[in-house]
Amino acid sequence: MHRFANPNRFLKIADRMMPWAFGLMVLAFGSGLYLALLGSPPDYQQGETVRIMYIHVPAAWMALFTYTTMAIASGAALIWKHPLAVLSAKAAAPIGAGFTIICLATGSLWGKPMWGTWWVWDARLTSVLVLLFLYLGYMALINAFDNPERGQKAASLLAIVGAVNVPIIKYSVDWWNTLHQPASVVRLDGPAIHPDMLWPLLIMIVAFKMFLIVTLIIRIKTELAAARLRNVQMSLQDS
Amino acid sequence: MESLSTFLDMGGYGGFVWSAYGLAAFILIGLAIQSLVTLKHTETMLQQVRAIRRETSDE
Repeated sequence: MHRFANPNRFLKIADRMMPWAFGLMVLAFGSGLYLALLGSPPDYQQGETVRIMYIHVPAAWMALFTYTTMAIASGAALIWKHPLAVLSAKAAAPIGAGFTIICLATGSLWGKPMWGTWWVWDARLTSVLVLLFLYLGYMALINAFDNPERGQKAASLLAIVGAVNVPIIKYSVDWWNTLHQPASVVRLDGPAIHPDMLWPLLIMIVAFKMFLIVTLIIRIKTELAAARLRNVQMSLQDS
Repeated sequence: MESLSTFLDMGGYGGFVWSAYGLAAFILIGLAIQSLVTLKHTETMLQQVRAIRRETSDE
């Protein structure tokens, strides 16, 4: 844990990972988009609208994954006071918010033709909207204090408390009645989805995950540079 | 040409499907560009401030 918390070591590992993550992202988006739009069959019930699934589901998974990572990093930041942990969480928040907006908007665009409505206030949709507000609240809170450490502490607490929402989102389709379909990929009895649709979906999930890694590395580097910038500026003011 | 228009039409749902893909592309590309521009901006500022510090410590 502590070895990765050293900023210089992080930058070294990140720079080595970057070309691989970027290459895999381009490859996965290329083949994933081809399969999603051309190489996969229309659904027997939903027709061509099923193609929205190939961005809706990866965005939803990555919105949850990013939030979970952010909550764990925030916990590490509060317990061990690692500066890199809180910077990582701060860097991840806008990316997670972006995934959540994609998830909500594509869900609406899928819901309108298939359910007959853009939106319903059911447990799944509402809990994902709460996830978006948690991301936005975190981003507002971490910058809301003159003393950055107080903002970081408050925002980290919010991220940890908000983690309660993650299992609620996951199991909302099992616990409550909803228009939303239940899980069809991660199930005890195996995926209930045909391989012709499962493969493009999995490749698009890899593409979204690589996008997260690439942008996260860029944003953590920015946060580290900004922290160094503040230090130099403060030392200039003192002298 | 007919196959292209069938492709774009998406069985009559083209508006929904392409809006979804377009919006996702807009947000992801926007995030990537904003992240890169902010990194470059912050690194340039850091270099400038470090140069100032070097000058002031030389005096």
